[in-house]
Amino acid sequence: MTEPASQAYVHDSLFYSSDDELLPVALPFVSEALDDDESVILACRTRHNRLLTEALGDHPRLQVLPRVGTADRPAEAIAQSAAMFRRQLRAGIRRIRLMGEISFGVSPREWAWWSTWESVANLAFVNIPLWNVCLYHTERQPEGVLKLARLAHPHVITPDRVRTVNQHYVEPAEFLRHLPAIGPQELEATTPSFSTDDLTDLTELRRGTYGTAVARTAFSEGVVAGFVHALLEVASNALIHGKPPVEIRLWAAQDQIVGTVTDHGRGFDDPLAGYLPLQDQQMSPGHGLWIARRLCDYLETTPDSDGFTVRLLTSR
Amino acid sequence: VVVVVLDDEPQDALGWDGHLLLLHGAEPERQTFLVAWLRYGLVHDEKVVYGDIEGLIPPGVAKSLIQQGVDVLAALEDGQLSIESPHELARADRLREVIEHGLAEGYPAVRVFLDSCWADGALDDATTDLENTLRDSCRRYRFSALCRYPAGTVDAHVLESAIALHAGEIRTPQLNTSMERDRMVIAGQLDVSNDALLTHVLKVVSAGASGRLVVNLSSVQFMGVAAARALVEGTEEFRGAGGRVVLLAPTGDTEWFLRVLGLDEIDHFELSGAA
Repeated sequence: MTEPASQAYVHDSLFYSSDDELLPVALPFVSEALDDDESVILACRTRHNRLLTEALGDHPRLQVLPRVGTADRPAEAIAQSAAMFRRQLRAGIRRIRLMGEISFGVSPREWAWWSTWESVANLAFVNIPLWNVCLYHTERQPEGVLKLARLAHPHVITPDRVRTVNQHYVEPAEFLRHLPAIGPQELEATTPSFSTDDLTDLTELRRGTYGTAVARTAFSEGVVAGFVHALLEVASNALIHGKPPVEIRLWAAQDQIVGTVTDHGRGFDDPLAGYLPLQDQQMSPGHGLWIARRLCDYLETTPDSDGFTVRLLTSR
Repeated sequence: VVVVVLDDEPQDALGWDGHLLLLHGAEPERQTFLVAWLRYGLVHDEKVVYGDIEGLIPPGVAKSLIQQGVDVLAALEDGQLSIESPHELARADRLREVIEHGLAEGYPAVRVFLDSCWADGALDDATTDLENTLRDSCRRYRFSALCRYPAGTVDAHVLESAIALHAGEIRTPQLNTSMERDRMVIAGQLDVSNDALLTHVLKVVSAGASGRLVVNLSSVQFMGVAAARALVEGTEEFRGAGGRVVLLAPTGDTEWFLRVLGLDEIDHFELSGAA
């Protein structure tokens, strides 16, 4: 397999249907890196992590992690991954190779949500010397997942170790723009647990929403506090950048919290907003949405003729 | 019905003693704070002097005190609570007389509220002299003073001067700051409603620090991105000149938040767990 010339982020997919197709690609991918003073991160399903480590043995520059997926949040996973890569580079690693598989969950909504990791990675890690190969089992993964994977990777590696440009690849902004919307939830047809039609006091918002959500849901206080923090960051943005009045709705049920923040301005049209790790020393605008995406399961923005709504959702 | 008690009022964390600057919004806010401050002195058996140009305690204030269990009439009859002209209290010799007389009568401390201090939002020489006298009296005697003015009515220069005259002792509904020896203490909910004020306070306090500024965050109940930005902007000049800012003892949520934002990676910032 020809090693990519780029020293920036390289993002490939491997579609395989058996160990016989996986190992001839995976084993040299890892062993060549270790021979070449690079570090390797394996974040695959347990069986594949074990197969590869048994074949290769222990190595100080080989790190084995559980795969990311439904137990995490994409924005959080992106940020944590970026931080991990930066730590390795600061420690003197020249280049990192990552072989990973994502746990996509069972619903089309989860597939779409986790495919955002795959797409946003192309921008989030752009300046990191990282060669990332993502594994997709063509018979075990639903066609919906495979379809999204074909759109999110700039390159494809075939089981016979040929690396080619992926003709189906679409840029992250375009990818995110065409993902299905979360949209209003069934819970939103009921009376909100908390509402205000003209937000002026963030302290009251924090107290009101936190108290309501803790009392009505089965989530831990930490999850609720995170959700409320996300809601406050979005509400702060609406107060600063939006057009009043700012309306807040919160629905809290045992297994779901939904919040909406609506102002009457034009909002923004940037599907990548809040996804990319920010690393400036001035705390420039954008950090609020970035934090909010990490503290709730789903966050989507919806402009319409009457204003701009941000919907936040955390569910079991 | 499940009632969740979220946290104490932020001002409770820093108390009501010293030379305090009360920044308030609408009248109910002013009254709430004033009543809490007066009540604190009265229930602790202190001598309380209310500076009012009309020579009376506003009925709303008196009513709130009574509702909170203070016998206002008895306090007036006993002399524990008295009313003075703010113009008289503004004279250094008269202020000293009031304080020393109160302490000589056996009160454990004396506190004075000066309603007219910042009423017009101006900062002339006379006002500056008065503030310096109050601050000096707080150092010399068991004495506290509350000066107030409506927030948002003065420019940044005047606001920073007022903060400096009160040595960073600020009380607002959500943001409270204090100086504890060489440490700055921040308490309350920090968000877009007070990030500009926090920036000003940090600028003033850091301008007076030498080399290292410790900011105790253990009483911060909530911190949003706007407040984190204020920590950066308010100390920018200080750090640019080589100063180091130690953010001390943030609670678990706040520490996570600051690390996620990467404040610990910004030049001359340090996160420290131990209070």
